[in-house]
Amino acid sequence: MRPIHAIIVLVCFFQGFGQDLSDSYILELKEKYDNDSEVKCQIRIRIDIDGLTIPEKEVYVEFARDQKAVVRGKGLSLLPKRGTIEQFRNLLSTPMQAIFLSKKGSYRVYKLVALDPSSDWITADIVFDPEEKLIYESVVNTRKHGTFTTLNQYDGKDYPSRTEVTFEVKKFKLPLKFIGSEQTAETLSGMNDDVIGRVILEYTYL
Amino acid sequence: MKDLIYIELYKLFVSTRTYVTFGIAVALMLIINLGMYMEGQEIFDFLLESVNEYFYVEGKVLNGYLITYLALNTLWVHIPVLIVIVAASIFASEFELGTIRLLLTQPIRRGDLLGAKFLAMVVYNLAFMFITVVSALVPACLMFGTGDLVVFLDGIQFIQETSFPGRLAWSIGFATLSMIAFSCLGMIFSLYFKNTLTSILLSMGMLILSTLLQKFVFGVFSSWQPFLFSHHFSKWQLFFMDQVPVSSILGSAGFMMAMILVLGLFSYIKFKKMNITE
Repeated sequence: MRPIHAIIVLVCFFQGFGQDLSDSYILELKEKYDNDSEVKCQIRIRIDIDGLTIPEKEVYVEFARDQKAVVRGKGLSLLPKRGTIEQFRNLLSTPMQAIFLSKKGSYRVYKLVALDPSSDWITADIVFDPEEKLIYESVVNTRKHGTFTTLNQYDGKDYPSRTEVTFEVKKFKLPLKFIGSEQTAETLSGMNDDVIGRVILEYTYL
Repeated sequence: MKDLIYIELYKLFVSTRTYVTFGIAVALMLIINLGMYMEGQEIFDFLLESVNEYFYVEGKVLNGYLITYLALNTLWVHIPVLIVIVAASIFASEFELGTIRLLLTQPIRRGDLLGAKFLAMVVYNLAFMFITVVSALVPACLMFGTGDLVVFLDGIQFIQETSFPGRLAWSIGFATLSMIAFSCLGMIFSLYFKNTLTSILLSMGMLILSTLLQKFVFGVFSSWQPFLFSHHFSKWQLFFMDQVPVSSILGSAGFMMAMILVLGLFSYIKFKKMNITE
């Protein structure tokens, strides 16, 4: 056997092994998040990012499978693109390889590796309860926007009652001169700093 | 004194120059509204690009309040130019037409005459600012509706719609004070040079110089900031910050009142000592 053939055989073997989602915990988790079709809720959003000031907002949101979330609220509101309840459905529906890492109390810790090169995320560490099949923590590494850490709290329901999302973000850029704002030396020097963004979502389901 | 004020106001409001500046201000505001109607959404999509990477932005970013706020940025140069044209002419035109000799031979005190002209200038400033704000706010709200305000100050700030009218009223009040202070510059130049055009040019030169130095924020230039009037004039924006820095605004308001007082005092001294044949 030529070395190239041996490499192909090995790659196919590990690839096939990796894609095998026969881990029953992950399969059950995937099944649970796949079943959630439509969720309607009120979300209280608190955003804490250096360089972005926005008052606390309450919005009505409809999450539906494969559709952009429908958001209604008074005035302007910002809903994070990652960390909401639809994040895990998207995560688990991507072709991926799941690797069991450890146990954390009664929870199980897995590393997920995306196999789809076009997916938004590369790897994700998730901590979930195998009994309730609920994800409590996740650290998702994305291709473009860095790492997102999500902490979920549940209130006896299948959806989180409170989610805290933290992520690294470039300090939001100051505007061009035509806006007419005054730029000072301090603000100019701090423009490219990375800051930690923190978003807290409190859900009330309808 | 009452009659003098009435006469000065009459002269102000029959002057074509006054209505030309009002007309230009209205046209300027309408052009801003039209520009925003045509290109505004694209501009704000671009400006909020970094926010859009992380968040779904829901609601109307481009609304009447935002356009009014943007229109107020004409306070940097455009509005002072228009205001000083009339402010300088209130004083200098009397010298150019030779009517000052007639006025000063009347049994009136020079202080009263200067005071009446000063009050006419203040009334003009108030009228100008009122017309400018109304012509910015009303069409913008009719065309785009109202909504929360996105302000690009110290990062990006989202200001609640309900607090906008109060903030606007305060910022307009502050801007009017700054425009009166700037008009006083036109007044003193008019009294010294007795020519409208020279006064306008000198006032504009001072504004350009002050604005230019304000932009040199590095090194030794940064220590000049508190002495530049344009630095204090620009504080109207701070009323649109989430946490309004009251002490900074009060400091600048104090600077402008001192400027009005000092320029008024020097104008009075000059006018009082002025030879009637000058």
